[in-house]
Amino acid sequence: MKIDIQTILPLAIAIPLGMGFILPLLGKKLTRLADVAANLATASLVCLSIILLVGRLQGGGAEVYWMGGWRITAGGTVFGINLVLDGLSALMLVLVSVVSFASTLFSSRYMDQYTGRSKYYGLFMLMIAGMNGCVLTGDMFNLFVFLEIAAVSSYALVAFGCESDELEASFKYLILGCVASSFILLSIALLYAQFGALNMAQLGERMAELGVNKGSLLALMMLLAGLGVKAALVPFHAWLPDAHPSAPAPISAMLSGVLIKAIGVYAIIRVVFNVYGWTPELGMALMVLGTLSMIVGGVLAMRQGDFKRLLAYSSISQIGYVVLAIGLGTPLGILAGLFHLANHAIFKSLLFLTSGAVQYRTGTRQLDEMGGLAQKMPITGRTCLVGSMSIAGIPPFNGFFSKLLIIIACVAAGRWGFALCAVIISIVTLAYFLKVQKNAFYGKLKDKWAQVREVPLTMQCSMVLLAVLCVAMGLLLVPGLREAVLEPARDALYQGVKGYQEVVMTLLGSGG
Amino acid sequence: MSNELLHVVAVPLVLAGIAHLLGRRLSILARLVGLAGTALTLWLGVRVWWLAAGTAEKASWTLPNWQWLGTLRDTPVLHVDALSGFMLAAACLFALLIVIYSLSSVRGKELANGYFYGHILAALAAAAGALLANDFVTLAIFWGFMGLPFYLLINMGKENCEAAGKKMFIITGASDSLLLLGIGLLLASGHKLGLYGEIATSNAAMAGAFLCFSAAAFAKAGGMPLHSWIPDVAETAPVPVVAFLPASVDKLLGIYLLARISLHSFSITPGGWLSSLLMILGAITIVAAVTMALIQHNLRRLLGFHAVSQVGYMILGIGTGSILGIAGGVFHMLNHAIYKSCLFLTAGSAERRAGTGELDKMGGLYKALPVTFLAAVIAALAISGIPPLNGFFSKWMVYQAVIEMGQTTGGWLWIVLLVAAVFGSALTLASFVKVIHSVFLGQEYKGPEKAPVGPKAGLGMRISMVVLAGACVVFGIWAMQLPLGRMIFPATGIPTQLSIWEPQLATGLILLAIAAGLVIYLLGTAVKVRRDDSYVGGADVSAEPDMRFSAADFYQTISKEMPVLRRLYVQAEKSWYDFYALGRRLIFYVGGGLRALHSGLLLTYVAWCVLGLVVLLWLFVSASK
Repeated sequence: MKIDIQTILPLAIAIPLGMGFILPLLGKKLTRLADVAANLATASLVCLSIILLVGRLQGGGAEVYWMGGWRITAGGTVFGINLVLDGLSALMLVLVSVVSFASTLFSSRYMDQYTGRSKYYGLFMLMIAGMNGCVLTGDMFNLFVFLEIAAVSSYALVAFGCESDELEASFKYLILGCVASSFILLSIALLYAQFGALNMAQLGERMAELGVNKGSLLALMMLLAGLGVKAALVPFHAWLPDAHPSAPAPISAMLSGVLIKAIGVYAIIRVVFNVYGWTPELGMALMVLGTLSMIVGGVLAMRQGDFKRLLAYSSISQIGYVVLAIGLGTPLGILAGLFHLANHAIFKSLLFLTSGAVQYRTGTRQLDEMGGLAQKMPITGRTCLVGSMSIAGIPPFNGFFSKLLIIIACVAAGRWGFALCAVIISIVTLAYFLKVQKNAFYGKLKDKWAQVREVPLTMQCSMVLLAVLCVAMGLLLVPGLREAVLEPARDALYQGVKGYQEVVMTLLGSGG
Repeated sequence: MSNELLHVVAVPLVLAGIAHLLGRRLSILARLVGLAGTALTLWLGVRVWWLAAGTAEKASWTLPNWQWLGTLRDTPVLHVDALSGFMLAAACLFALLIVIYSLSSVRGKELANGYFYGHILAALAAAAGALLANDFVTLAIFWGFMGLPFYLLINMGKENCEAAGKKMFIITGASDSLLLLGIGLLLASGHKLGLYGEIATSNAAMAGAFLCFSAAAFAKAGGMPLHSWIPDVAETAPVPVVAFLPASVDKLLGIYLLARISLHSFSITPGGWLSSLLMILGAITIVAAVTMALIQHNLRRLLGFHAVSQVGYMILGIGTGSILGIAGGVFHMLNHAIYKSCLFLTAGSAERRAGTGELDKMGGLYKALPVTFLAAVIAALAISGIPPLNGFFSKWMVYQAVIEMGQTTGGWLWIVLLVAAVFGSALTLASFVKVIHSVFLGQEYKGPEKAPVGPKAGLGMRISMVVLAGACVVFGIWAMQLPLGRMIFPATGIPTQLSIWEPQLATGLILLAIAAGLVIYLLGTAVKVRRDDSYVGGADVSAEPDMRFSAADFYQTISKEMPVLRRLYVQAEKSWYDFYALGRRLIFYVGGGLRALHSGLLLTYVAWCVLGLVVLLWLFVSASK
């Protein structure tokens, strides 16, 4: 069956955007309806993203869609809103949808603790729309717009509990996010001033013609710093350890699982590889930022006593791995980085959901206060173990394979020092996740938890789904699946500016 | 292609899944799955071992020719040769014996459940996979996976077992990361990942790869400085688990890897710097660990230190790089697995009876546990290297290998190594005199903290202990015919310079001497001594602490009176020599500094962002033309 991507591609943004405005209308009474509608929306997004992934494979190359079929060319410059579906966007879409589905499934019972559920889902959907737009757009300014949609809804979601620490965290996040956004906007303005284009492919083309100069480097560095804040790379990370733990658990899962990747890492690598073009110096900057994040995040996670805060620092560390590997710029490195990005989306959202499950039943996030919970919450305990083993890189879970690839890629590129750092931090990662296991789930059950029960079924389902994915995703390395999922994503980046341009420009005519 | 290789990995894994599904329900059925599963795996393992003698094609299992496997189609994944074959069979046998022991030793819902047997089977499957791996990636997968069931098994133990489990998992997890680093080094130098490459170690990268793999082997087997998890685990994990993993199967895997890389994957120069490094670490391990063992007051912790010390002999033997040394090291590993698991099992039996594992509170158990006592004495003599038991023969081979190496390379290093090895053996004997005396002989503890008397050894426990103790004797007396001739020499090759040692003749003479000693003892005055409890003024004072001496007291001289040793002991207690503790301290120190930087002030954070941007701009924009 031939899949008509042109028809269904805009749905990836339209469904969540539409739902984002419909759901809040349901008000306070129809909360169950809101649950069902939100879950249906995310489930349909999962199906849609998989169809798009498969459809793109059938087509073989990338697909470009022009919003409303509207496009004008003036003075050689293309104006219009275009969406580009290539291997990387397709992979990101699937990740966003899967994690969103798991999170909405988890939310339906978890959000019983909060009021204003329909507003919550509304913001949730807006955030998805922002992320989907961000990974699909082929235009710098639209990138900024979608990025802000996702970011603004996440500011509100972090503060959703309206407790003082949540508001404080949200405020910090908001301020730092705004600093970042102004960097990004300024940078886009600088680019438009110099090159007179906003379409990424065209921007890349003109940049290649005119060559790199101080102006474009200034814009790139501002973009890197701005997106670095969104991706929480050290030293731009400081908002994350406050914001991620303060949000409701399913939102933490979304933030750490996909948001920092979709609006942070994805945007960085798209710009670096497909607009500016990877250079050894840029690669080195990414590697240094990545390694710094890896070390700082990992070492600080060791010292956390708060379950979710530990996970938040661990996200910084893991994003570091992703950026380090992609910064290598070798095909193996990019593949390893993207694979780790995908794996991290799954296991980190799983871990945040399990932390939410523990908090749901015990009301605490402090690891010292827990203990022996595996006896009372076997499913949570086991899925958390799976998540911990995955992130720590214990075979046969998915994290092991991406860790293996990252280390091999570093050594193969002759980056011994980075490889050694990656190895050491992987041991540190194992150490702090074993601390989680030891303090929360093993040991003696405290008397006050004698009455604790396992979480409701839908929450269990959501965690089990992600845990199964943690085991199954190792298979993505098997050549058959690798060629379908990871390699197209890798090639989308590795083809560089020229390849991206050719793909997009040859398709400029279609859909118009 | 032989599917038996796949079966020996898959069958225990599937059965482990079934046992897990049983969970805490139907404990009888869970035990049955455990027993039948390990027995079945043993049968499969022995069949796989036979395949090793066949053609190369017969001895491998390749991935099927499925389209979606792409380039991985028809890759050989599992392979068996003489070395991995007998180790596999041995691992399966240990698993079976441990399960038989557990059937009667492990009671109650806490342990006698599907999880326990499931984890044992999963660990066995991982061990089988690691032993049969044809390349380093497969090895690393099974190697790393093995930590998980082991970790979960340790978590079923006594108080503080979680800390020990965490430590074990971190160290073995680190060993898996080192394997990955080694794999990276191999690939970066353009080598294949097969285990049979015979790669030269002359350049730095390959020497580094060899060291990575050796470090992984050290961590698993417990060679210093990556040993520190073993005493902790030995003290707190359930006894069958200790006997199964750190005492036998972990040693098997660690030494397998060390022997494999020394024999087949790399070619190391005997007496070169790599070989010397291994030997020096081996010698340090022997002496340092046994010195720590001397002062222990907990039976299982003491045995745990011996489990480290003995690894030193294996590393020393393999480090010589000669066939004799490698054969000796592997043989010592096999012997160690036998007597150390036997010792842990006897320790479990004694502990169950006495209700405690503290040496000072045990004593006089030989009356209640005669079979345990006999097995413990045999295993203790074997570990101390008393002829004609198996431990003697393998140590003898290691000594000879060191001497042989010294004769070819000269220098003084070999003398130091030899002295360390012999000295370590003497200290081992000294510490086992303490064990046997304070646990089985000596006076019974009647003090205020006496625990209620526990049950005697069950049938399954006795079977396992007797089989292992019997193996100590048989492998000693018929060493050339059975273990060396059938298992080890086919794997390593026959060494040329093995001096003659006639175990059978020597056994005859030793038995004669013992008989003579008995006659003298019986004819002498010994039997006429009257034994009675202590009385003062007609009152029974045998419960008074002063009226009882514990064998452990004799050894206090070492830790209290000798100034140099005392300082070392104090530092060891503070974990100055423990890589794990040092690393932890370092990370916490760095973390403390970083944490102080995270003040929580928004302005600081904004300043970082701006500063980060400034640095980026300075580096890129000002550097460009």
